[in-house]
Amino acid sequence: MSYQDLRSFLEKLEEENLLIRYEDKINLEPDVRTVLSAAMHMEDPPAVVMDNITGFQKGTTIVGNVHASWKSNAIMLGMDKNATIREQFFEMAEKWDNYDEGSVEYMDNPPCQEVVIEEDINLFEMLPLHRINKNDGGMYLSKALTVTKDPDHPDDFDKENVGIYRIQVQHPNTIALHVMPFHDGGRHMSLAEERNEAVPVAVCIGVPPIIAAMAAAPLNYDESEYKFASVFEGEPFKLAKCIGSNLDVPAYSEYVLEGRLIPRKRFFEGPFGEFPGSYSGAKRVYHVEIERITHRKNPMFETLYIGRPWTEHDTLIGLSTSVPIYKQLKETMPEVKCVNANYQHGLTAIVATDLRFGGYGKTVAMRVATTPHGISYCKNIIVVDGDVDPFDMDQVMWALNTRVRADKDVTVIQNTPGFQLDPTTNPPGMGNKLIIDATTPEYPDKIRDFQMIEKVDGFDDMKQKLEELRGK
Amino acid sequence: MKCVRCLSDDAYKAAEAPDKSGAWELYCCRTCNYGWRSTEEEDIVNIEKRNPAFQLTPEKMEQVFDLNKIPELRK
Ligand SMILES: [Zn+2]
Repeated sequence: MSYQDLRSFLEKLEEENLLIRYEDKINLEPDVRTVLSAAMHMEDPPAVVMDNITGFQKGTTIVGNVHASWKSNAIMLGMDKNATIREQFFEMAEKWDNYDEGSVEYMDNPPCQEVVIEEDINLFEMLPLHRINKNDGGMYLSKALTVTKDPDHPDDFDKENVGIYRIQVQHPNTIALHVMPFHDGGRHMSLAEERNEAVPVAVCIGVPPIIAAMAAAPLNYDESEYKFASVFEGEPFKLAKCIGSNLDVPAYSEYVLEGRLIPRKRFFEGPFGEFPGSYSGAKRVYHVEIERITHRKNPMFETLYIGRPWTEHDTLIGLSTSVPIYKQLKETMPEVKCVNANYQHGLTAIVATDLRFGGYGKTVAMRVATTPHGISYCKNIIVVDGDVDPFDMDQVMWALNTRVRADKDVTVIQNTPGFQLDPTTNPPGMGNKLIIDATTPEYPDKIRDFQMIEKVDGFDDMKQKLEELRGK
Repeated sequence: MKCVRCLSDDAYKAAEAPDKSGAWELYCCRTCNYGWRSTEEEDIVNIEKRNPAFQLTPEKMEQVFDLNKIPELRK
C-alpha cells in the first residue's frame, strides 16, 4: 500500500480510528497547540483535522499529529498497524539498503499547481499560521520541506536536498530559514553565498507522509530523499518542477512556496520552542523572499506541535535517527543487534549488542559517540546485551539493575561536542558523554558465579496462542 | 506603531482575518521580526504583562550570533 498524497493517508488513518475531526470553533492561538499537544497524550495519539478557524473562510483546514503514533508510522511503512516499534525498526533497516532501487517520475499538470498565486502574497492571510508555543518569536512552519540544489551542481538530482527546518514567517512574503551549517541545506546556502547568488528555495507544506520521514533522516549528501521515499512506496515518487525554477517538489504537495534566498545578509529570528522541551535562543539567520504560492484545490495546511515531549516530532524522527546509527555501527561491528535512539533525537541511545570479548560494550559505546549523528547528539549511551530489546524499557531497566557495576561500567568523557539545543550543554555545543555498559561481562572480564534463570520453554508459541484466544 | 517585544516604533499591521470578519489583526516588527495576533493571550499582547525573559533590548539583540557565517566571496 502506498500513500502518494497526504489525503489518502488521512483517509486510511480515519478508517483505523487514528484520526479525529475537531469541528468546534478554534482560535489559532492557543487552541491549535492545546488540541495537538493534548491529543499526543492519548493512547495511540490520533491525527486531528480542524476546519472551523476564527478569521478564516469555512473550508480552511489544519491537520496535525499525522505521524503522532507508532500505529500511524507502521501504516506509513506499509505494515500491520500493530507492528511493534522493534518490527518497524527492522522493516526500515531492511529498506535502507535498497536505495539503488529508488526512482522518480514527473507529472504534467501536477496537483500542487492547480492554483497559482503571484500577486499580493500575504502568507498570514493565505495560510492558517499559528504560534506553536506561547513564547515563540512568531508564527512558524514546523513541518515544511525545504528544497534546495547544490549551486555548483544544479543538474545533479541526487545532490538536491529535501530537509525539514524551522521556518518563521516574519513578514507577509518573507520567511526566515533556520538551517544548521552542517545540514545539507545549510551547505547549499553557504555555496550560494560564496557565489553571491539569490538561489531558488521551495517550501512544501502537506506532503506524502513518507517524504516527511525521509526529510527528517540524516542521509548522505548525494542521496536523494525522493528516491529513498520511493523505495518505501514501492513505486516511483511523483514530482513536479517548480514554475519559477529547476527545483523538484512532491507533485501532491498541498502548498508550495517558491522563493529566493537573500544572499549574504542575516536577520533576527526566534526564540522557538524546540524538541528538548525548552526554548532555543534567538539567532540571526537567512531570509527567503516568497514570489509565488501554488496549491491544490481546497488545500490542507499541515502543522506539527513540537514542545514538551512526547510530541509528533519524537515519533517522526525516532526510527530515522535509530536506523542510520545502527547501519553505521554494523559496518565494523556485526555483533550489534538493534539501536533505540528514539528519545529526543538520540540524546540518549540504547544499543543491544553481543560481546566479542571483555570490555566490548564500552567499545561499541565509543563507536556510537563517533558516528556522524552521535558526535553531537548521543550524550547518554547505554549498552545492553544482544538478547535485550532496547525498545522495551522493562528489559532495559532490568539490564541496568542487574548488570551495572558502577565502579567499572559507568564512564564520563568530559568536554565533548554536545548538541547546541540541549539546555545542559554549556557553552552551547559543549557537553559530556555518559557511557553505561549494562552488558554481562565477557572473558577475560568477569563477575562472581551466578546462574541466570533460563527462558521459559515454549514461551513464544504459548504467547501467540493466548493472544489468539483473547482475540476471539 | 510600537512593538510589544522590542518596544521599537517599527511595528505595522501585516494582515487581517481573511474572511473579512475583523476577527483579528496580525502585526509584525521590522526591528526584531516579532509577530503577534490581536487575539492572543494577555501576556503576549499586553506589554505590561509580558514575561520579561522574552523581552528584547538593543543590547540583547546585539548579543545574538549568526547561525551560519557569511562565507568569503569566490574570486
Ligand atoms: Zn520588535
